[in-house]
Amino acid sequence: MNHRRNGIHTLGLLAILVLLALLLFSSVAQGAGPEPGLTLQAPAQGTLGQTATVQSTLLALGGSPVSGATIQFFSPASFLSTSGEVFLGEAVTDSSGVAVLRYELRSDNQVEIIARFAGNASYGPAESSATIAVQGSTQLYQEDIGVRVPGLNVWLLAAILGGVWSVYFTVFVLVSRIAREGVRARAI
Amino acid sequence: MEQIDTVVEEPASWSRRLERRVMNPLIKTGQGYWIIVALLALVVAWGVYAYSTQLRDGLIVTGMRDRIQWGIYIISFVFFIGISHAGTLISAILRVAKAGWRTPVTRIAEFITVVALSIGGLMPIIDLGRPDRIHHMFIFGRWQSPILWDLLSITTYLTGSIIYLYLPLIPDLARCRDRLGNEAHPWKRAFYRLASVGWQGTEKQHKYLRIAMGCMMVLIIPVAVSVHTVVSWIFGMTLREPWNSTVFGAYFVAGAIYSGIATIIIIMVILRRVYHLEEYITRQHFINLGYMLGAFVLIMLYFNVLEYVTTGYKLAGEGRFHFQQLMTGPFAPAFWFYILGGMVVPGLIILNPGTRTIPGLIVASIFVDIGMWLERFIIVVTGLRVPLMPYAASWYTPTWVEWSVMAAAFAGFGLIIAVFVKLFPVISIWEVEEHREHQEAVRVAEQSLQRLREEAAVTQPASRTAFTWEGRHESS
Repeated sequence: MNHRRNGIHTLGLLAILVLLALLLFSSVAQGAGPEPGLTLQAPAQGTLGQTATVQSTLLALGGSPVSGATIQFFSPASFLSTSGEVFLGEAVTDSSGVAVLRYELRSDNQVEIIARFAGNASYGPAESSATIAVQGSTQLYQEDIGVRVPGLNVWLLAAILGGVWSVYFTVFVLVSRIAREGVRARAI
Repeated sequence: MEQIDTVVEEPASWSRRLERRVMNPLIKTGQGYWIIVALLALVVAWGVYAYSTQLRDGLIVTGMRDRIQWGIYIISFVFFIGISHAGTLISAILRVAKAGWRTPVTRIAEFITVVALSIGGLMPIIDLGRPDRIHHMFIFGRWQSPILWDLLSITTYLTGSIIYLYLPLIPDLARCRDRLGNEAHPWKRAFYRLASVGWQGTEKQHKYLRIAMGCMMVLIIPVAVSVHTVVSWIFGMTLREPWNSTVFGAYFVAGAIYSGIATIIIIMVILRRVYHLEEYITRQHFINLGYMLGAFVLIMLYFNVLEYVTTGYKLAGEGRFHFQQLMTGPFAPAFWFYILGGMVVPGLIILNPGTRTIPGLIVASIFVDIGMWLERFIIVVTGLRVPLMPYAASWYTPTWVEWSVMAAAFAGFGLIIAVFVKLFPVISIWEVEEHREHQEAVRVAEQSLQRLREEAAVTQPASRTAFTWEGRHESS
């Protein structure tokens, strides 16, 4: 009887151990420790074309900073029928758990920035977002590529084409003179 | 002018015989003509069907994909624009150079130009996935883009070529108006009446026509050169290693004239045979065109040496991949056929007096045209095949849709020429007559000179008098 009870205890212990092992394995497989706290600070307002500084802070559960972690920054965007996130850049947290990204504001209205920590062996993933109200209508595209040669522009092209087409027009006038001369000759 | 019944009756003079020979096809059509037209129309109809599937399903029905995004359509575009140079450019150069032998050749050459340009101009539109957005070229086009330059230059060239074809046609159209009479269909008569713009052959009309033709023959040469140069810039100004060439413009222009001459020879042979023009388009015309073809063999070989010796010597960057794919890689058969079949073989045929005959020149011309089509294939496809990033080189296999559309383009080319020859005289009658008169005057002058020499020899035997062409009186 004792022998049987011992067997049941052993089986129960074994089941608990297996469960614990499974739990441990699953948490390791996810690469997740406790989820840290990630905050994102961004200026509430900005001007188009200006560089904004966004700052993300990664803190462990106890409030201690997590250093050396890579934070990636994204911004949601859509083009024609496709939507997705545009990768803005990435930064590594310092000893205060702060990662800083300097980002040029290239679209107006409400620009959402997402900071994302993918997680590592010690900490689980975390995400935070902030919105910047961007104002302004500056033309950001600047034609500064190449060498600007004075006179080499669209007017040169227009002049060449204009020259050719004016010869065509002259020929048309000559053909109309041929026609007029024909009428005159027939009349005679 | 009187009406000619000689169109079907007895020949009176050389001029009348010429007139009858050239104008006969305008009023008489054999069964063979309709069979050929029907066959060509069938191929065009098949091409239209193939294109309709492309319109319905999109460019996915072609072999073009994101890495090799140009194929047979753009190859054919470059090919047709190339042969279009034959006409106007060759005709204009020969006119400017006052080469008398040109007269029976120019009209056919000018036909080829207009037809080839019209067909070639369609190819980039066919290449578009959304041809309904063609107007975006104008709305969103940028002056800095070679595509827009191309659009402008081809439009300008096509207009110029039509004018240049039309001007020397005026006296001949007037002749058709006056001579064909009731033998021509009423709509044709109305057309000749309208298109001949009241030409009566007065001195003033001749003067105006001479000025107009003079302007056009000088202008059309730089316009034609610019067109193919701009076509080459579509490639040359794209950031692709195999297209980084400063000689691309000249290479394209030379290639265009080269394939153009070959096409003229082929079409001339066909028209000469069908319309019995042997008296006017003689063996000598073919030999002269053969010499021009031979000269361009050397020019093309020179350009190829320039292009590939420099690339092959440096083998820098992506140039190595490109060089290898042409010389020994998957495109080697096409490349070497282009070099050997497209240039060396035609060159040897022309060089050898035994093969420098009309059949020999036909063979050489067919080789040239096939070689030059392959040259465009090599430029377009292998240029795009060189990987821009570290990915595996892709492949391009044209589908039945593309082959069908290309066949339709060639059939359409033949079909429009077939229509042209039923509407316009294939030989410039008045220019051939003028040339004949000039030759006659020279012959008479030579005879007079010979007589004078003989008389001088009889009257002054001791002074050994001689007359020279310049009219100097040389004595010794």
